[in-house]
Amino acid sequence: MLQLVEGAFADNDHSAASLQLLQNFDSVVERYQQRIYRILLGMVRDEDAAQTLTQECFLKAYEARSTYRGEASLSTWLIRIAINLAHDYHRNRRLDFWRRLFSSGSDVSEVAGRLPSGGVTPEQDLLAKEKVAAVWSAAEKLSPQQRAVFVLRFVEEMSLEEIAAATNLKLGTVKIHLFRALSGVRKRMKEWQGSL
Amino acid sequence: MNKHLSDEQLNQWILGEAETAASQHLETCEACQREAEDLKQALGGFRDSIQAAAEARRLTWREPAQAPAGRSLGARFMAQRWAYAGALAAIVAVVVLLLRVDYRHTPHTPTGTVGEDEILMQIQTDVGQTVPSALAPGELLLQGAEETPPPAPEKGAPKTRKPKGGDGHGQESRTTPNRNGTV
Repeated sequence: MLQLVEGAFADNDHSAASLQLLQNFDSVVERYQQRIYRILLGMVRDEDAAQTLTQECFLKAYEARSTYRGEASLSTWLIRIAINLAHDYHRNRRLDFWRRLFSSGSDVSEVAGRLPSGGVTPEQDLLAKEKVAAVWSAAEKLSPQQRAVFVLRFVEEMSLEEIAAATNLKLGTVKIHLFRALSGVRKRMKEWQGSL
Repeated sequence: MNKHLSDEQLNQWILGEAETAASQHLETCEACQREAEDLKQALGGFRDSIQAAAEARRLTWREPAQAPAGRSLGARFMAQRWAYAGALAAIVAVVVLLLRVDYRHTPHTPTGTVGEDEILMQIQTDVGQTVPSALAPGELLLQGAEETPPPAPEKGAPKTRKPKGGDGHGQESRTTPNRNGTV
C-alpha cells in the first residue's frame, strides 16, 4: 500500500495510485506545492503572486479532483493548471496597476540575490549573482509560453516530452521555444559581459 | 572542425542534443568550452535562486472545507483585494470631488444672489446703527478719549477709524461716511 502511494509521487504516476492519492489531498499539496511554487515564481517573477497562484492551483485541483481520470501524471496535471493560471495572470493586463499596488515590492533582483554563495571569494559570488540576474532579465523578455517551457526545462529539469505533455505543445514547438529562450539568454549574457 | 560552435549547436549542447562533431569540438576548443560553461553556470544559478526562494517561503495549505461552497478561497482573497481597492478608489474620488467643488464655489459666493442679499441686509443694519458693528469696540475707546475730544467734522457723525485691509467690514466702514456725507 505504501509502495503504491509512493509510486504515485513519481512522474509516471498516472494510474489508480494517483486517483487514490487524490483522496488524501493534503499529501498531494505537501508533495507538490514547492514544485508548483517554483514554476509559478519563474513564470510570474513575483513571490507574493506566485504564492497566491500556488494556493489557487491547489484549490482548483481540489475542486476538479473528481474529473481527474489519470490520463496524465498527477504532477503533469497540476503543472498544467499552474501554467494556465500563470497565463491568465499575464493575460489580465488590466490588473497591472492593482498588482503593483498590493505587491510587497519584492522583485526578481531579490530572488536572484537569494543565490546561495558557492564562490571562493565575495567577488565570485557577486559575479555569479549578476549572471543569474542577467538570466532573470532575459527570461522577463520571453513570451509567457516560452517562459513556461524555459522554466520547466531549466528549473524543473523536465524532459522535452514531459514539457510537451504539460504545456499541450508539440515536441517541435517546445524545441523552438527553448532555442529562442536560450538565444535570448545568451544575448543578454553577452550584453552583460560587454558592460563589465 | 576549426570553426567555433554556432548558436544553434551550443543550444543543442545545452539541451543535451549535440551532434558528435560538436561535442568533440567542445572537448578541444577552450573558447567554446568557456562560453558553454558560462551559460550552464548561469542557468544553474537561475534554478538555485528559485529553489532558495521557494525554500525560504512558508507555504500553507488552507482546508478547502473552510471556504464557502461555490467560491474558492483564492477567489475570496481576490474579491477582498478588489473590495479594498474599490473602497480606496471611492475615497480618493470623494476627496477629489470635494476639493473641486470647494475650488469652484469659493470665487462665486460673493456674486451669488444669497450673498448679495446678506450683504444688503448687513449694510441696512449698519446704516441703522450710529457706529458700524465692526467699530463698536472702538467706540468705547473714543468714549474714554472724549475728555480731550478731537475737532468733530460734523455733529452726529460716527467716530470711525479706517481699518487696514479690504475685508467685508472695511467695505461697511467706507459706506458709513458716504451715508453721513449725503444726509
